[in-house]
Amino acid sequence: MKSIHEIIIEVDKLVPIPQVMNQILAIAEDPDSTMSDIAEVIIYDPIITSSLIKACNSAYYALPRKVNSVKEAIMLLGLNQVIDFVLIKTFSAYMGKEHLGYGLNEGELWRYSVSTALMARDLAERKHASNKQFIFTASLLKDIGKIILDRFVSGAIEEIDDLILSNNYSFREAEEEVIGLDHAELGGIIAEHWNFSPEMTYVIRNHHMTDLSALEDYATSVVYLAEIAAMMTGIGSGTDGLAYRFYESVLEGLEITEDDLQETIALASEHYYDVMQLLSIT
Amino acid sequence: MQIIIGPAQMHIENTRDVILASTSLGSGVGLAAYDPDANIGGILHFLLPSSANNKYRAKKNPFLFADTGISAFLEQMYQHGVRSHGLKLVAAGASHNLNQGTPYDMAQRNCLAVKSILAGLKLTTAYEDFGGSFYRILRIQNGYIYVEVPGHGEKKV
Repeated sequence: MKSIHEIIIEVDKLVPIPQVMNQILAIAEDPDSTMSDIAEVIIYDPIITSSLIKACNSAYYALPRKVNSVKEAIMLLGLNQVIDFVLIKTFSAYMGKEHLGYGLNEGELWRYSVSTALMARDLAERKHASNKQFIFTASLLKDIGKIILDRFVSGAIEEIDDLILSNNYSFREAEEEVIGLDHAELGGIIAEHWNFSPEMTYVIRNHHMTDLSALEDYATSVVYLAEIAAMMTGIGSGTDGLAYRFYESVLEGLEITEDDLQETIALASEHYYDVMQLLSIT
Repeated sequence: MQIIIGPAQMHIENTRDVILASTSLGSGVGLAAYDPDANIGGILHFLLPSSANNKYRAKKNPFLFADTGISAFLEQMYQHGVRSHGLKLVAAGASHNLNQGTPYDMAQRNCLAVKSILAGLKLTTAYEDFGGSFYRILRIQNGYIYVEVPGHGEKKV
């Protein structure tokens, strides 16, 4: 298909992610990471360092004394929160723009991704997952394919809508049918292009359960469910809406009850406003 | 000026020079109320049907839930001088994923909750728009309530 060739050319033209991001992603995926590991990476990036210190010194934390270094910031916020902060800040450059093919104004794809990541964090903590940081990161990055597919969805939205309304397609299935490639598959291609780990690439590629064997994969299941919960809140939503398939077996597999899901939505929505407030001051 | 009402939030305002709009409504429900005599409008955007198992969180933020949110919202509307007999009410939202059925269909329960709570208060809606797998936005502007489905037009009430 002509458009697939055009899409792959766009992937090749994509600005590479900064080296520091690959280092942080590696730290995020390693449960044995230490405070020093992350500090050593961040101190060489002046923009991230200044944002982090500014956040710590904001009224949001109301500290009795000033924070002046990355190490102090990590001691204050904790390792995971610092990694979350750095990932959210950095990927806003890619996901913070408008993506009008999906009906998303400036910042909306990014807000949707942050909301999904917060849902995923809560679900992972609720289930005492050992790879919480990996799950958070995968949730944040899962829709990276939309940044390129956006232009192609824009020219195909009427056909896509038609398939959804008349033929009971999901939005992802309709993307695949009309364009030849869906945003999850394209996200997997971008993840490979950026040298993400095979595990991260797998979750991004299957976050809508394209390959049904992903229903058996723990991290993919949590990311999938987190996105369902994020869709339910409507935060940063687009024209794809909630037109994705719901697999009840994911909840059963993760042993998430309806009460758990409601609690996650409640907690993560509350936390979302806190995170947005914090990010707006940095 | 436009004021945006996010999930688990509500806002009441004199709408002479102000537009009130919800963020996109997912499986939650938006309830818009407008009194044309007082020119007071308000939008509540709740996410969950019942606070029964979550009293602590409802106390912290009643607008998260249908039961605590609707009563707190209407109470504040009345405090702004609004009278129930002249109140125009529009409810929208409760969208769901494809194949989403019980016991996880919170949209359906949100929809039933708003209907039953309003019925219990002897209030009727001028317009309701629920269901489907797309988002809606509620807006109060220039004396009217709008239900917009982005990309697919809007209904003026």
